[in-house]
Amino acid sequence: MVWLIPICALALGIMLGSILSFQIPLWMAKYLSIAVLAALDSVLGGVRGIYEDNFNGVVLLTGFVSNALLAALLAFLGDQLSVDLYMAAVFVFGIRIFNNLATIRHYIVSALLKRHNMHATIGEEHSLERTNTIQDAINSTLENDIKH
Amino acid sequence: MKKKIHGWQIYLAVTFILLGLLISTQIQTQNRLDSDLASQSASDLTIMVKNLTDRRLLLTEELAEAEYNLELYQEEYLDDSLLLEKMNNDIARLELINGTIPAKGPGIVITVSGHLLASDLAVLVNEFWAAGAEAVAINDVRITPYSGFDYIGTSTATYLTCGGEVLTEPIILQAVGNSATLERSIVMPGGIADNLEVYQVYLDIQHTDDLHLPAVPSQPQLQYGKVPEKTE
Repeated sequence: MVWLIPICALALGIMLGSILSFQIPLWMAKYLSIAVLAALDSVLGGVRGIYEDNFNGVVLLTGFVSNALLAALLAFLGDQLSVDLYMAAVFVFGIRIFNNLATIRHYIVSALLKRHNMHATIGEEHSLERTNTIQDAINSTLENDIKH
Repeated sequence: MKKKIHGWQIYLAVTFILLGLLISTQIQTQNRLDSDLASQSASDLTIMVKNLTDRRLLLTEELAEAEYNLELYQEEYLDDSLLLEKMNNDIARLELINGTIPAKGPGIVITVSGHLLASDLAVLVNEFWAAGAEAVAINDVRITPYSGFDYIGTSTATYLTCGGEVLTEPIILQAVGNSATLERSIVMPGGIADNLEVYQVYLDIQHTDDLHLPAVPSQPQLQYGKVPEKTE
């Protein structure tokens, strides 16, 4: 099980967090949530990278930290400028997270199917669907933008 | 199959630890935020305010009741202590009148030179009472409502007695009261002093601010007198 170590690490991280229980000022909670979202996106991107064979640990770590910090900072800046960048960040990261999850799911499913000697053209389907998903996201964004 | 740790696993593990930390911190912060008043919705806050207002009203009522009770108890206590004080004062006054406690105060002292009769003593004491004396003693024998003057005779001499106590000469009368009034009642023209002078009995009257009259040694036991029942 190659995933045992990362999953254990996640559990360890959560445990550490609840043991240490950092006291973050309450006004930061909003920005922390955006940072978590960005971090989740980075991690899922990393996982996807593993399946796509273009994983780079350094890129993942730096991306993780900088994405989280930048997302939080941007949301903060948006609040200062009274522009709801927070919502934009939630929107963008949300789409990316679902995207990454979908891709990962496809890779996992195809791997499982391969293991059962089920030869299918899932790879092609996957890439097609992925394109569709991105297209959908862009479309909905555009629709939203037009609506508002 | 040999187990091999890939490089990506380490990186991912580190990232996951950080992610776990972030998530758990965020959850805790969110929990704190949820219990923070500033983040409650208006309707929740309204309900909370209403509940708190109701509770405050209830407590205010309770407080008012408790304060009322406290006042009541204090009044009762005050009443009791006032009554007790009044009763103590009454008892002390009655004891003073009956001579069961010593008396002190301003008054006059009369030293008699000459032979007095028991009736003279009775007239003198009567004059004192009539002039508003509050306590009277003769030769340090306190005069009480039961005091009577009499003679007691031996084979060689006859002595005056007061309440059974022998009075030896010189006879000294003490009366607590307004000394001026007391003196006037004795020395008024045609009064007891004039009357006694006829019999060569002279009175030496002195005013004093600090008379000390003794108490009677014992109270008489009541045999016949009964306290009548109170009729409202």
